[in-house]
Amino acid sequence: MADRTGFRRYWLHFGVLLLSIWTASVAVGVLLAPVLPSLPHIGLIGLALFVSMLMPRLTGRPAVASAATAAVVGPLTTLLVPSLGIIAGACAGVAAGTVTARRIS
Amino acid sequence: VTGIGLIVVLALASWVLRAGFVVLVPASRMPAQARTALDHLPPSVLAALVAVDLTGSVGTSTGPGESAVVLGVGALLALAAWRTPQRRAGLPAGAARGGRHRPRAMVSESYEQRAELSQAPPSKRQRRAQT
Repeated sequence: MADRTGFRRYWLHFGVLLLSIWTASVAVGVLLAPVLPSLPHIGLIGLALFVSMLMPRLTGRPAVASAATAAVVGPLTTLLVPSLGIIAGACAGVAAGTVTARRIS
Repeated sequence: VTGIGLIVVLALASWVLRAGFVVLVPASRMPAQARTALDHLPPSVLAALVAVDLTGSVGTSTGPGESAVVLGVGALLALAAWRTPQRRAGLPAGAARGGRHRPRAMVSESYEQRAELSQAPPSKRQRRAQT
């Protein structure tokens, strides 16, 4: 029971912490953006963040299949319907990961 | 003020969705197939984000040279992330909790294990019945 209670308490606290830091960071970005010079590499910060979160998760064939499928389907869908690219990529990735995991098992 | 208010509202909506599935919805009652499929969601979403961002940057670049630079930077970032020991990524989260409850369910555990942990603790009546 202690584990379950600790788990829920952990996620509640972590969520509030994330909410605070995320909101504060976005607010700082909104306030500072007009002041910052137009540097081309600033646009790569978001890419660096997502790549650093993605790479440690590629630990098996299902994860690699999910990521590869999403990386293909996402941009292709963006060409047709720009607002649905990431969602379509994610759905296709989940499907590919599930199929790959079933084949392995 | 409107912009900041919108940011706060979006953050709250995001937090309610995130915390709601952990705290309010008993994940253990979800179908096993759904739980297994959710394990593949993080790499899928992140890969879609990276790919859409990269292709967008390449699409808006002024020439093939700039496109090659963007793609090269993406490859370098991936290589750096691949070569960096994974335990470093968990350090900030662990430090935030003071080590009392280690973030054992953050990245390394499957959704099924997280679902088991996220079950509501037994009520007083259930505990009395058990004793």
